[in-house]
This record gives sequence, structure tokens and C-alpha cells, in this order.
Amino acid sequence: MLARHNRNDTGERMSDVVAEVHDLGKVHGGGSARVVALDGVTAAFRKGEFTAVMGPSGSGKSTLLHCLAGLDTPTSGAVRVGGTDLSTLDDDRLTRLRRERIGFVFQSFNLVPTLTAWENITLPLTMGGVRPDRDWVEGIVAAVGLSDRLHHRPAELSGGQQQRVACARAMATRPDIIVADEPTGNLDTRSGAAVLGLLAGCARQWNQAVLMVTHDPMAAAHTDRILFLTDGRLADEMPAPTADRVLDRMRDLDPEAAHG
Amino acid sequence: MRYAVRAVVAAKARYVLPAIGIVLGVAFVVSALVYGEAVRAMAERDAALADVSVEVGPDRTETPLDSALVRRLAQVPGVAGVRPIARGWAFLVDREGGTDRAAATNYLPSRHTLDAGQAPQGANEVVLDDKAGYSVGDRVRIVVNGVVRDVRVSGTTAASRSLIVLDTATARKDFAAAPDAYTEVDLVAAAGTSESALLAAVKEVLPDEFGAVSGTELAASAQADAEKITEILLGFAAIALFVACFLIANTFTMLSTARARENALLRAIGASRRAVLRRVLAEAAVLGVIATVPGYVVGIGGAALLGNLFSDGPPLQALALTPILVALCVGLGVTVVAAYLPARRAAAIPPIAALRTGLPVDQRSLNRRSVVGAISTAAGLAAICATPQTWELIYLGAPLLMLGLIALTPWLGLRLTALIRRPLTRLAGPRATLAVENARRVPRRTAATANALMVGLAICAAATVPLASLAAEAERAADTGDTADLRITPVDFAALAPDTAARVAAVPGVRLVSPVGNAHLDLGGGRALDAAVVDPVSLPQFVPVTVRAGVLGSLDHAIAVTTETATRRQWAVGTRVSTYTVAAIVDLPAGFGHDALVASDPDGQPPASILVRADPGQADAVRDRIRAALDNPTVRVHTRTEYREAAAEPYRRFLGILYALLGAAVLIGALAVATTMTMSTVERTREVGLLRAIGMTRAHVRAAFRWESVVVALLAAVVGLPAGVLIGSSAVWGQDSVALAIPWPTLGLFVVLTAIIGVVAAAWPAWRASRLPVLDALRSDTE
Repeated sequence: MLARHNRNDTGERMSDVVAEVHDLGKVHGGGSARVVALDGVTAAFRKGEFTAVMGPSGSGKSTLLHCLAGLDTPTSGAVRVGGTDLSTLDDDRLTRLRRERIGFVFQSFNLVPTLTAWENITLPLTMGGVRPDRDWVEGIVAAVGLSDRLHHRPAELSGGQQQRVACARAMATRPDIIVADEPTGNLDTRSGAAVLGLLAGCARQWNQAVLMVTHDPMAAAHTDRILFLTDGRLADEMPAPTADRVLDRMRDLDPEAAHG
Repeated sequence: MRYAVRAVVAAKARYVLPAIGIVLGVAFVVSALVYGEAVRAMAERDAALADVSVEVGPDRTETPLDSALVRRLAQVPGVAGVRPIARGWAFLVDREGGTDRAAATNYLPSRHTLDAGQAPQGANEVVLDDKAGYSVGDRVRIVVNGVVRDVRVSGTTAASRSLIVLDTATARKDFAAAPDAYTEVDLVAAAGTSESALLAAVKEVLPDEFGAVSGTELAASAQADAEKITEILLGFAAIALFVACFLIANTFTMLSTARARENALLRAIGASRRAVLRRVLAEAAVLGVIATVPGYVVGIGGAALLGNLFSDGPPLQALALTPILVALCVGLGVTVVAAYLPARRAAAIPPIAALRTGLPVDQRSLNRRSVVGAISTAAGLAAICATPQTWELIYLGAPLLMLGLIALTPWLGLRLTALIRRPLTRLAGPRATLAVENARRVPRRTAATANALMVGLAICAAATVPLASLAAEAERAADTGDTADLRITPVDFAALAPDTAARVAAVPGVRLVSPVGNAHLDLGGGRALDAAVVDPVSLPQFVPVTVRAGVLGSLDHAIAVTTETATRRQWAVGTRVSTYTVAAIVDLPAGFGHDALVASDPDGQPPASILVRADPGQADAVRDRIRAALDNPTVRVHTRTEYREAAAEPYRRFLGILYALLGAAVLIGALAVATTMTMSTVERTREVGLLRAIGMTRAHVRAAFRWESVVVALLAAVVGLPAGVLIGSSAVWGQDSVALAIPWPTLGLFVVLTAIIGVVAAAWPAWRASRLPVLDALRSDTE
């Protein structure tokens, strides 16, 4: 079903799709406390493509990211990462999938405070008992510009540096997809731009699929396309966005938020 | 106060483990007090029941106290009553074939009130204490002086400990040194005569080789025993409470950290430091009082247990004012005192901290603490190294060393974990790296946790080394250089019957027997010779006796002395020694342990052991045959290895009791590890969420916490065990007669047990951490 849907609608080659969600639904609570976070979202994410998910608070964008990354379980629909249906996996296999096929960048507290930058970057590898491929990891480290900070602990790094370490960690395992949850939310403009540049580079130079949830139109303007969510539904998709167009679209979707 | 109660109830999960620590500490104190009081009360009751003003007895048991002396004592002015007594030890064979050592004495109508039946008549009847579990008419076996007797229970009497009452003629025959004698005489003062006046009057007429003590002194010495028991138990209770202090202090430190923002908020809205301090201390007080109640109940149970283990269950007074008040003071006091420093630190939080995110980091430098610790450790080591010269220095050195190490543990912990980080990472990957790093995170907390376990371990090691040395010494002493296949000895306080050697010789498979006794030869002028009573014909078949001069012969009115004794005393063959002539000068094996050999004991004591040569390769079978032939549970028939082991057995048993008493301290130490691990999982919720998100499996999360717990526990072993071994060794260095024996296998076992404590203590926290929902954990505000 999924494959036909993709071919028919977009005409893209199947092999480029690394992750997809189909008719995804997520309901929190029950009875009067019932909250619909996602309501039938279908989307596909391809190699070399940097996608942003935007939407007002409570639109379900974080839930979408969490479901896609195997951190949350949807109540309906399917999630596939690298051809694997996540609903078929037990906790250990799901954990292994997160470790090997997904790279994470969170808004804050991305790093283990007791480990050095190098140990943080190689953590997903060493946790899986894999000896880090030094050349590959050092290439990433050079790309994120941290070669001289590798033996520092997170507390000795600036917020921007910490976030770059997180990006390096996300890339270290050559995952199918990198998911970033408000990666620039806690950073100043310059550090934020550096992190966004890195994520964009992941997609364009390293041919990686990158999915980022953000509030920030400036951040979203770095991406190849934007998915707009409102009330748990896919409201719109904008290819090749610019900051101005994003702002306009946001204003349409949620006039209050755009003013505030 | 109402807030404090609510706070304790709200945080009850976090208070469970420290509360168990307080319960154990309080219980130990209550057990000591209630059991000690029961023993004391029993001694007091016995003394009152005995109604003795003065007790007269010989200085040496071999001196007969004859009826002429009894008559003389009866005529001393002020004596209203005279009770001649013949007493000693006897054994009651229980239904399982084991033995129960009992005081045996002659029947005294004034002293033994019969609950049932009547007084014993003749050698075949006895009265037993009512706790023995027999009734009038039952047939029982008793062993007196190594001889088994089948007797009939003629009556029962109330007694505080095991008692066998014999008829007077039988008791005198069994225990008195001469046919017409007794072992002691109890005198009762007439009305108007004071105990001390009577004592003085009795001492006037008493021959030199007899002594007299007043009833008050007798009672006092019995009560002093009870007080000593209480003191020893309270000593162990103090250790447990000391360890509990670490647990409590750690709990309050971690709670204060978790509540730092709440406290800062209180300060920001105008609460004074004192108010915050009072809030924390009130919570400690509530915890202390709540834990005291179960502590008291457990303590009564513990006292009952001690009563059944160490005496015949003296009646306990479960509710008495003193133990209740002491329990309350201890429970409340220890908790509040241990919580005071954490409370002060909680109160010292700046109001601005309310606005900061994350948990405050302990910034205080370790330098001062480490320097003080190093100085104290060095001073303690110096004092301990000087113990061979001045033994008493151990009382200074041991506490200095322990306190120094406690102060030094944060620093040591940082150094040691830095050392093991790399090898452990190689061994177990990031699980181990995280574990080691987390153990390093808050050095003071890790140290306090390790210290709680360390104190118990150090004391265990300190007790093990001297006792293992004594046991090794006893095993060495048991090897007297003889070649006997079997050795027959009585159990403690028992004796071998005079005909034992002859009966053993008649057992099929026995080739040769040789009885060996101990004699004390009085040479006059305060000089004595420690001689072995031997059969000079058979002994050389078992013990290599090298005759240097003279002839061993039959040692008729003669002795053989060792070369060393002869040289020291300047004796030669033919020298007259007391009533003996030196017949030979001999060399005996080093382990034989006597200065001379004689053929018979002047006091007529039965042999202390019998050496047996069995048919070749038949030792075990012959042993079983001898046991069956003697049919006497107070006689031990041992092969060579069994005998060595049996010699060390009392020390091992004593060590077992010590371990049981120290168990509470070690258990509280284990609780401290569990508490810290539990708090750690709470504090690191978000980190666990991150680790799970980026791909750490549940099993690995559990392993990381387990490794951390094991690292902390092993830190306790690495610091505590060497310190304990050193302190224990210094106790041995002071003794010339005992060689130091370090019990490596036991110490290795301690290390393994400590690691197991680490694993077990982390089990629940680790399981909980691994089950945290990943998303909730990621969103939690603790770091």
C-alpha cells in the first residue's frame, strides 16, 4: 500500500525513501481527557532531503517526530524506518533501531554530562559494541569544527558547541534519518545558524535524510521543504521555503502565534 | 511539625531505607538493654534465692574441704546455718544424642524447691531443672566425670540454668577431692551479724589454702558478667548506629539537593535560614520517632533470640521504662544529629537558586578535608606501627586511622575510579564508563555511601585477623609431634573416665593406646613443673623421645626432664627434685609442650587425652568402633585432621558470633548503597531518558547502575579491608605467643560478598531506571 501510494503521488524512486509514516494517529488519554495529537498523517522522508515540521503549539509536530523516531508508539497507522515496520519491534529491537538507524538532536540536554565530547559522539557506536571507525568519526568531527574540543566535558563547552557535538553524534552511526527537535531553540542566532548549516550539510553533502521540528521561520528557511501541521493534521507542504513565505503561511495557520 | 509529618509521609518511599537503618540501630540497643537486664535480674534472683552470707572454698580444687572444717566453721560466732556443698559439672544427654552441660550439685532442701516428685535417693536418681523437658519417672542418661549413668528423674525444680541435682553422697563421691570432703561450704549469718563481720570471723579460723567470699561479692560478680554482656552488645549497637548516621546524612543531603529549588523559593519569599533548618530537622525528628517504634519491637525480638542462643531464655520484661526512653533518645537523637549538617547546608542555599534550573552542584573544595584526612591517617598508621612496643597505642591508632580514612575517602574514591575507568571501559564498554563517571560525580556522597559499608567491613576484617591467627595457632598446637592415628579427648568441661584407655585397648583394630595427662608438680618454694603424665613404655611408640642422658625406664618415683629444663634449672641425672629423682634427660618434639615426663599424676587426675594406633588404613573404621564401644557423647574420637580442625573450632564459632553481631552494621551499609542508588536513578531520570533515546537497551541501563553500585561497594572494601587487616594485625603483633596469620581466603570472600552487596543493592533502582518511559524521562526537569 505504502509503496504504491508513494509511486503514484510523487513518482519518486522507492529506494530514496528512508522513513515514512502512513495514516498516523495518536490519541493521549481517554474520556473527557482525550486529546488527539495526530490525526491521519502520511509523509515520506528521502535521502538528501532536509525537512522541517512546523505548526502552532499542540499541533502534534513533536509527537510526529517522536513516533517516527521510535520514542512514542502511535495509536493507529504505521511507521517505517529503513523498510522496518516499528510496530513489529519489541523494546530491545526498537532500542537497537534508534541506536543504529536514527540520529537524535534535542533542544537541550543532548549530551551525557560525565562523558567527554568524543565519548558522547561515539556513544551510539560503543553502546552497540561497535568499534568506532576513526576516519569516519574524525571526518565528522572536523566537519562540525570540534577537533580541538574532543576531550572536554559538556559543561566546558558553549551551548552551540554542545549542539554541534550532538549533531556529530547523530551522524556518527550513518543513520537512515536524523531527527532534530527544536535544535536551535536554546541558542543565540549565530550558534543556531551554525547548527542549521550543519544539518543542511548532512542532507546535501552526506546525502542524509534530516527531519527537524521548529518554531522558527528563519530556521525553517534552511530546509528543502516544510510540512505544516495543525490540530494533528497535515495542513500544507511548502517546497524550497524562504523566511518570508514561511511567516506568511504561519500567519494564516495561527494568526495569534505569528503576532506573539 | 504538621508540615514535617506530611513531608515524611509524602517522601515515604525515599525514607524507607534510612528508616530501616534506624530501626536496626534502635533494635540493637533495645536488645542489648532488655537482654542484659534479663540476665542481671536472673543473677539477682539467684543470689537472693541462694541466701548465702559467706562462701568458703579451697584455692585449688584438689584440696579437700573435709567435715572437720565444716564443723569448725559451724562454730564460728554469728553463723546461723551451714550448707556443705559438693558441686561440679555434669552432662545431660538429650533426646538427639547431644549433650547439655549442666551445673551438678548435691540436694539441699533449703535451696531446691521441688516442683514435682521428690529428692534424689541414691546414685540412680536425679532432680532436673524444669526447662530440661523431662518429668518424674523418665529415664535419662547423664555423664559425670566421663562415666555414663542411666538414671531416673525423681523430681524437677525451678532453675535459671541447666541443673542436675544429685543426692549428697553421690555428689560428694563425684566432685569432692576426698571421700570425707565437700567442694564448698555456704554459711548463713545469724540475725544481727553483718555479712562483713561474719566474713572477718570466718577468715580468722580458715586455713591458708582456703578462701572466703561474701554473698554480696558473689552476686556482684554474677551481675558484673551481665553488665559486661550489655556493654559488649551496646558496643556493637554503637557501630551499627555510627553506620546508620552515614545512611541518614546521605539521605538528607540528597533530599535537600532534590528540594533545593523549593528551599530557595522559601528563602526568596522570606523564610529565614533558621526556619529552613528547623523544617529539615523537624522532618528528621518525625522520621526518628516513627522508626523507633518498630525498632523497639524488633529489639524485643532480638533480645528473645539472644536469650535462646546464649542462655536458657531468661524471662524478658518487654515493656520497661529505661529501654523505651533510651530507644526514643537513640532513634530521635541519632537521626537529628546525622541530619544536622545536611540541614545546615540546605538552609544555606541562596534565594537566587530558586531561579536557576537544574540541580545545584557541590562546589566545595575537598582540599581541606583531604589534608585533615591524610594527617589523621598517617598519625593512625604511625600509632599502629608502634603497637609492638606499646600495645595500648591501638586504642589511639585504630580510631585515628578509621576517621582519617573516612575523611580521605572522597579523594581516594576520585583517584581509584580514575585508575579503573580505562580498564573497566575496555571490559564492559560505555556501561562501565558511565558507572565509573557517575560514581565520581559527587565524591562526598560516594564516599559517605562507601564509608557506611566500609566501617562494618573494616571491623569484620579487624576481628577476623586475630581470631584466624588464634585458630591457626590452636591448629599448630594440636599437632604435638605424635604419630597417633586417633586421639581421644573429652569435650570442654568434661573428663575422660579412668578406665577409658583400657576399654579402648580392647576395641578390635586398636593396636596400641597411650594415655597422656597434665600434671602440675609442686616443687615447693613457689616453683612448679609442668609435666606430662605418660606411660613411658608406650609413649615412645607415638612420640619421638630422644634420651640424651640416663634411662627412661618405668619412671618409678622418677621424672624425665627436657634438655632445656635441665640446662635452665641446672639439673642432671640423679638430681633430687621434690620427691622425684631425675632419671633421664630427653628431647621431645617442639609441639609436645611439657617440661617433664612422669608416670602418674600426684593428684590422681584422669588422662587428658589418649593416643591410639589403629590397624594400618583402618583409622576411620576403628574410630567408629571406639565411638560405639564408649557410647559417650562427652568423648571425642578424632583422626589427626579432625583433631586439628576441632582445636580451631572454638575460635571459628566465636568469629561466627562476631559476624552475626556485625551483620547489622554491614546490612545498614548495604542499605546506604541501595539508598544512594535509588536517589541516583531519580536524579538522573533525564540522563537515562537521553541514553535510552539514543539507543541504550534496558539491560545496559541496568548494568550501568549495577556497575556503579559495585564500584562504590568495592571502594568500601578496598579502603576498609586493608585498614581492618592492619588494625587486626596490630592486635596480634602485641602477643608473643601468637603468630600472625592473614586469612586470605576469608578476605577474598569479603570482597566477593561486597561485590554481591553492590549488585543486590542496585537491583531495584536499576530495574526502575530501566523501566522509565523514555519520553517522560526526557521531559523531566531533573538532570
